[in-house]
Order: sequence, then structure tokens, then C-alpha cells
Amino acid sequence: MDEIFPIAGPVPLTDKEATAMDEHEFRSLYDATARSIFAYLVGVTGRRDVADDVLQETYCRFLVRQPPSMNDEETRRYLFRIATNLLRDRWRRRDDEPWQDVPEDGFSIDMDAQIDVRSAMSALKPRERELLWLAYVEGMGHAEIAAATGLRAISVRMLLFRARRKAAGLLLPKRETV
Amino acid sequence: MNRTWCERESDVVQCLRTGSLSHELHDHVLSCVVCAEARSAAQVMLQTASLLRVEDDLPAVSVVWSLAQARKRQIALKRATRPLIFMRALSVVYVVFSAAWFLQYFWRSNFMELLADWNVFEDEATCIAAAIAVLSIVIGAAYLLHDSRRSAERAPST
Repeated sequence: MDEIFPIAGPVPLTDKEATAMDEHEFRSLYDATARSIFAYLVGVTGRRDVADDVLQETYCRFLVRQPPSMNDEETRRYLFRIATNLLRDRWRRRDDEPWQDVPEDGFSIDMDAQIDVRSAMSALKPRERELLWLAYVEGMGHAEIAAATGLRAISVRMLLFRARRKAAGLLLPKRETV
Repeated sequence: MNRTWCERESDVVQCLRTGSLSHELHDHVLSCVVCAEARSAAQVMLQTASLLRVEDDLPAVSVVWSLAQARKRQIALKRATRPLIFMRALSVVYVVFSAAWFLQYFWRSNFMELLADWNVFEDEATCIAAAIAVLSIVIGAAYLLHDSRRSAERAPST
């Protein structure tokens, strides 16, 4: 019954709260990880408003759950895992369209590259974008992607192979004709 | 046969992420279908990543921190009021069962005869105690119900 606090008097700290992260520690973690997670969310959803919501929710959940004894790399993967699960929840509820155009001010002014990349990203499925982003932008291996997405490593290899082939197929014909 | 994996793929991707391919890796990519596909796919993703400007749009760390603290307090409050919710449910069950029992008891017996035979002086202490207990439970349940309604009305605005 350690979950039930006495009504009167100070509320005792649970083990989790006793080892809880303070604001300074959280600030360092946020500075080190938020950019890459936000870029991942914008890259996968194509929507900054969704990425913003999901990023805030990701860190909220992390602070509320606060799993004990994790090193920096594990924490980073855990944050990606929360973000990925939140995205899937949204897609399951059909809250978001698969990939929407990011507003002009979200991209640099390299228009050729922009159009090319947009059409390729739009043609990929959300899971394909997730896997390709983690593999090629974050540089994660199969085991790390499995930890960050909740998939099995063997499934990651197959899904990544298909996604890679599809992405390459979307880009190669255009580039070859140029 | 369709190859799904190449042991040099990670080297190719690593080079693309950090700079350009060496001559040796470039030659390998030309002869390896897996690595050629990996290079094209990586280029799509890396180009997307480089085109996005995320620095200006990151939510402020203080906002995220305050949000999480508010969520934590909400969860702690919910946890702390769990025994109250349990007691509330228990009191409602008690009141309903007591009312049912009293009604059934008076329905079956002749109410006036019962009152005439009832020796108030003998059972006075027991009756007063029972009446106080029932009254306290009814008042307590009514207060808890009123309180929970008030909290529910206030909840959306917080």
C-alpha cells in the first residue's frame, strides 16, 4: 500500500521521486536531445505543430515515469521510443495525415532539393520514414532502432531493407534523367 | 539473389553523415546494390534533415518543465485521493443496502404492531447509536458526492 499517502501531514517521497531529476539536470538533457527528437518528429510527420505537441508530451511522460539508472544513450533511445509510440497513437486515431508539407519558413530556400525531397518523403509510409530517419540521420544500428521503436531487430532489418529500396526507387529515376 | 544486407553499409552511411565517401567506398557503392540503395535513401533523409530548421521552433525548456511538474502534481493528487474514492464507494454501497434492508423489513411486518411492541427504553442506546451511525454515513456520503461534483465542475478550467 505504498501508493496510498496519508491524508494529513507531509506526503512522503516515493523512491522514484527521491531520485527525480531536478530542473538543471533536465535542462542539460533537453539541450542535448530535444533538437534531434524534434527534427525526427518534423521529418516523420511533416508537421511542426504536431511535432511540437508530441515533443512536449514526450518529455512530460519521461519526467513523470522517470525510469531509474539509465545512461545518456539509453535515455536518448527511451525518448525516441516514447516519441515513436506517441506518433503511432496519433496515427491509430487518424489524428494526422501521413506526411504534410512543412510550411515554407520551415525549409531553406534550396527549391530543387525541397521539391525532390518532399515528393520522396510524401510517398513513404510513416513507419518507413521512422526507420530510415533513425538509421540514416541518427545513425542507429538495427538493435538501437529496435530499442527505439519497440520492433524486433530481425523485423527492423527486413522493414529497413524494404523502406530503403522504396526510397531509393523514388529518387533514382529522377536523378538518372537529370 | 536479392541481398538485403551488406557489411559495408554502415561505413557508407557513416561517411555520408559526416562528409563524403572515400575513393574506396565510392568504388564499392558502384558495385554493390545494397550500398547504392542505402546511399540514395540516406541522401533523401539527410537532405530533409539539413533543410529543416528546428532551432527556432523548439518549445522552451521552462514550458516543458512546468507542464511536467503540473502533470506530476495531478498524478500525486489522484493517488492521494484514491482512499477517499474507495470510502465514497463503500458508503454509497452501505447506504443502499441499509435502505433496502429497512424497506424490506418494514414491508414484511405490520408497521404499527412493530411500533407498539417496540420497547424503546430497553433498546434506546443501541437505537441511538445505530441512528447516529446511519446519519453520519448519509451526511458523509452526501458531502463527498457534493465535493466531487464541485471538483468536476472546476476541473475543465484548471
